[in-house]
This record gives sequence, structure tokens and C-alpha cells, in this order.
Amino acid sequence: MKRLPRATLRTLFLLLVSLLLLPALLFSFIGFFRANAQEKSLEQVRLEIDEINQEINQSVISPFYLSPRSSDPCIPNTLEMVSYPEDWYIENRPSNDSYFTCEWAYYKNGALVAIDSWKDYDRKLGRRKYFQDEFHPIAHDTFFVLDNLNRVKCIKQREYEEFEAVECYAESGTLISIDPINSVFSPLPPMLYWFAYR
Amino acid sequence: MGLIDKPQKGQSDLFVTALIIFSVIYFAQTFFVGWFLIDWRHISSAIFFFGFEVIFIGIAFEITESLFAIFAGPMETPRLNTLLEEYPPVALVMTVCNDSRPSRWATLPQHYPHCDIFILDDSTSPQEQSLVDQSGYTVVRRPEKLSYKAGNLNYWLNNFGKQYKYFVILDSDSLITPDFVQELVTFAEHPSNEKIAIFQSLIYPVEAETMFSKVLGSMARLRFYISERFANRTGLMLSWGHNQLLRTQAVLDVGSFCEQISPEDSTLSLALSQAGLSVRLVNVASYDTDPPHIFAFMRRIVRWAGQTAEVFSLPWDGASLRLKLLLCQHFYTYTVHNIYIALLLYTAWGFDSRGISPIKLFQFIGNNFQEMWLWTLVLAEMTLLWLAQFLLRAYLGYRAGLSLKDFLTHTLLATALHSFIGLAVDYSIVKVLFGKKVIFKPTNAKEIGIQNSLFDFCLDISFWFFIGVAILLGMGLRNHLLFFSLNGLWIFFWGIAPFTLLFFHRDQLPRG
Repeated sequence: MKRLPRATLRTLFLLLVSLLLLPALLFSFIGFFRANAQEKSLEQVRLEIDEINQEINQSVISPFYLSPRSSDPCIPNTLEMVSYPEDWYIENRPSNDSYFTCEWAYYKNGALVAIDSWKDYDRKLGRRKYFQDEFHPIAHDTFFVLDNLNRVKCIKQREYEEFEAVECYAESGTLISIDPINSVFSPLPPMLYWFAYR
Repeated sequence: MGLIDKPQKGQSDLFVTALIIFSVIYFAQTFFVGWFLIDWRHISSAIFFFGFEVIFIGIAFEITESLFAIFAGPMETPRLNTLLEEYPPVALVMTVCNDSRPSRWATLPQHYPHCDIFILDDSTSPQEQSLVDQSGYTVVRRPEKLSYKAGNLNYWLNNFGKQYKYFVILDSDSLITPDFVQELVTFAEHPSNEKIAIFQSLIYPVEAETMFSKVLGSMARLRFYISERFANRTGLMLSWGHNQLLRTQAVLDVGSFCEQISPEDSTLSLALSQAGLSVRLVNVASYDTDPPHIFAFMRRIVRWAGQTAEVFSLPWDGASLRLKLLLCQHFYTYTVHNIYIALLLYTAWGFDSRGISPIKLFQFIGNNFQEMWLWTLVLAEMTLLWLAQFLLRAYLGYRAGLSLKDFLTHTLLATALHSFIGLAVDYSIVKVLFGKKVIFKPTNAKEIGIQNSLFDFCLDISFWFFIGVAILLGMGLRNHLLFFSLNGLWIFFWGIAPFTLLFFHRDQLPRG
């Protein structure tokens, strides 16, 4: 500190800028590690969801997932057309969401793992919600998401409950992009130096 | 001698308080943005954060200044009764360099009984020299015109300085009242002020004949209102180079004016601070003129920027840390526009918002608010910050007696100037940093016509044009969302800068 008055202006300027940017650097490190840790947790959750998803797709055999459909998934006896393993149980129940008519709740070994919601208008599969420890929702997939011009933006869009990430998947199930929303994240501070000059 | 016994309540040094407030504002802002707003998964966000950080330094400084101007009282420098018992000899020296103003000479005589008037003429033109010879005052001309104003003043100091306890420096366009010297001496003679070497008067603009200079000078009252409460109270005060009274012995003791580089005012302040002496703004009015048009303004601002950079070329070992910090802040204000431009270009090209139609933007935000909140929060935060800064200044303008119309008009002109002169300022700084010396040209020198500023002007026109095209192309092809919120507002003002400048020169355009 005693040496400061002896510092040259160039040294002082660089010192000052470095000092003031230190907290920024600190935040970048913390932010980077937080983002990394989040990424790892997200990866974990993604794997877990993919596992549930794969199990449903492989274990539960139903004509309803195929298009065009000949049968309505929401009629009471519809589950008779669905075959699934012994440790699975599927419940067909009306949906509380007006956008959907009914939902299929999947139970594995008695624990809720996912809920499929079938659309009101065309009875297509609209949403699949995933659960952890039976009651804890972890993510949901939305199918055929449209953009503002009513074009299909994403075949399957996944949003996580605890992570601010939006993922887009291709029809084959391949992850195409993560968080396309970020592409519009372009803030700019307004000009704040209106008083700098005489 | 009778002392004015003014209570010195609340006159403590506020430098540390200012430093704390500045740090709190800066770190709070850093924390808020760094913790809540930046998405660290994306490199673009990190780049933006560092850009913002550099800009926050200036924001924090300006808000600190404004808060001090609102809550702190002005510095009340003690002074003697105006009836002095002794009248120490004072010299009034006016420096001239091909920019003489004969109308000013009649205003120089003072009521102060022991005051000699000198004109230090550095003019090279014979017509100018013969005009100055008719002034009726002692004209001092040196044989070799080296080191600009510093050399001119030193020549006088070496030959006449010792005869005077104080000397007053005036520029050729300075205008003072007949009591000017008397008033400043009452400050200088007060025993409490012996550590103050320069008593700087408040320099108001006068004789503004063009619309440009009228608007430019309209902010003077606000500037002084803030300086009296912030710069004076925190010791962040540099000499302004003219319309001031100096202790002759103090200047001689530090080796007179520095001739190595051209900014004789800042270098003298630093040299005096090495001897423990300071500069104080005192409540004595004086006057000078502001540049009449953009060309003169550019000449002045480009010179100031280069001179600020020049000060950085010397070591200033042991000079006041406060003054060094202030010079760092000056250097920062001359260069920070580059960060804005860089962020602007980066945001225009680095982000892609093509999937979103501007018409449906609000619908989009509404539908995607869960994901968009970060984006909107950053904009909202920046907008609030800007509004706070703007409103604080507007309020201070009101307190300083400035009309809202004047405030807004000046803001419009200052925005255009700031948007327009970036490259010339950069060029001037870079030249100095690479070892070139600033060529000192007085702002109002008669031989300097518009053609002498044409290079800087062309530089700025090209700068404005190419950057403008690059940004607009980026906005058109990649990120049209950049038009929204305050971004659009200041990009708009940035874009129309040359036309705004033309508007403020409409009284100087050829008729017909």
C-alpha cells in the first residue's frame, strides 16, 4: 500500500483495472465451476430420463405411439391393446389440463416413473413428464413444438425442472441443440457517458 | 487582518467515503450481474460480463459523484475579509499564441492595488505580434518558442516571477471581473490555505455566438455544482490551466512548469502534489469561451485526450495518489467508448435472433418468459441503472439551476459528439502511447481553419460510416432484436450523430 504513491500512472492504471476486474474474474471462476457442476448434474438427470424413456419405448408396446392412429388412447378399454412387462402398471385417467384429454401414468414396481398426456384435439402424444422417487417431477418432453410462425420448431423439446435448459431432439431421439433460447441473449448497456464531454 | 470565522462543519475529507461508496456500488453491480444474470455456460455471456465490468467502473464513478453532489455540502474554503491589510504583489499574465482578443484587454485592469499585467506572446504571425504590441501592457516575447505554454510561462517566471508572491494565468479568451485578483488573494492569504498552491476559479462560458457553443456551455453550472461537492471534498482536483491564482514560490520550488510534455496544468498539479500542495476550486467566477463548432471542439478534445495520455509517459514518483487515480479516470473516459463499440459489434454479429420476428417479439417474450427472464432481467437492470444515472443528473441540473430543456438539449449534443469523435480520440491517444508528442494548437488559434481539422473529421466520418454499416448489417442479417429496449434508443442516437451535429450547426451553414 505504501508503494502505491510511487507507482507510475501506467502501473496504477493497469493495477486499478486488474483490481476492479478481480471480482469479475472471481465470478467467472465460480460461475464456470457452478455451470460445470450443473452440467454434470444435468447429464446425470438426462441419463436417468433417457433410461425411463427407453424403458417405456421398449417395454410398453402400443399402437398409439405410431401415426396415423386408428384407436383413441383415451377410451376406457384402450389399455387392453397395450402390452407391458409384469412389473409395470399403466393407469389411464382423465387429464386435469384442458389441453389434454387423458393421461397414462406409468408405474414401475409400484412407483410412478412417467406420465404421458394425450392431446384433446387429435389424441396425439403431447407431453411426457418424468418423475423421480415417485412424486418428484424432473423434466418433461413436449412433442411437435411450434415457433411463432406455426412451423414445427422441434420434434421433441425437453425442459428440466431444476435446470434452466431447453433441449431439442430429432425424431430419431438424437439431441440436436441445447437451450436455443440463448441465441437471443444479447443485452447491451445503454450509453452511459452522456456527460463525459463539455 | 480579520478572519472570516465560518463554521467548518461537515468539511471533512471525503475521499475514503467516496472510495467506499464507489466500491459498494461497483461490487454490488458486479455481484448482481455476475451471480444472477450471467449464464456462465456460454462464452458470449462471459465476454459480455467483462465488457459490462469495464463499463460499470464509469457508472459507479458517476453515481458516486452524483450522490455526493446531492448529499454533501460544497467545500467552504476559508478566506480573509475582502479588506486586506497588506497587498502582496500579484502578476496577471495572459498567454497568447496567434489567438489574441483585443476586446479582452480592456477588462484586465483590477481594483487590486498591486497588480501588474503581462501579455506573454507566443504568436508567430507579425500581424498578431503588432496587434498585441498595441495592448498597452507589458508584452513578453521569448526568443525561442519551445515547449508551448509551459515554455512561455517559464520564460516569464524566470525573468519576472520572483517579484511577485502570486500570479494569475489567463488564456487569450479569458474574461475576469475587476475584483478577480482581490477575491482570489483573500483565499490565498488565509493561513489555513497555505498548503493550497493553486486557487482555481469557476470558469463560466461567455459570448457564445453559435448554437453549438451555447449548448455546449449550458452544462457549466451543473459541472461546478458537482465539482464543488465532489472534486473539492475528495481532493480529486487538477488545475484547469487558466483563470487561476498560483503561489509563485511554490511553482518555482517544483521546478516551474514541466516542459517535457504539453499538458502544463496537469503536470503542475502532480508536481505540486509531490511537495504536498494541492489545487482548490474556489467560489470566484470567471469566464472563457467554448469552441464555436465541431472542428474547434474536436481539436480541443483530441488535444486533451492526447495530453492525458502524455501524462502517463512520466513516472510521477511520490505524486498524490488521488490525482493519479483521477488521471486514470480521465484516461478511462477517453477510451471507454471502444468497449461500447466492441460490444455493439459483437452483439450485432455474435448473437442470432433470426428465428424471431420483431412483430411477435413481445408475444415471444410472453410465451417464453420462463426462459427469457434472464435476457429481460439484464435489459431491465441496465435500463434502471441508466435511468438512475440520468435522473440523478437531471435532478442535480435542476438543483444547479439548469432548465430541463437545456439539460436535454445538451444531452442530445453530447451523445452525438461522443458517438462521432471516437476514432480521432483513439488516434490521438495511440500516437502518444507510441512515443509521439502532442502538437499543441490553441483551440481558438486564428491561423487554424476548418481545413486543419479536416483529417480528424474525415477519420470520424469514416469511422461512423464503417462501424455504422457493420452494425446495421449485423442487425439486419443476424440480430435484429438489438433494436429493442434502450439499445435501440442509443443506437438510434449513435446512428444519427452526424445529422444531430448538423442540426446544432444550422446557424453556421451557408445560407441559400
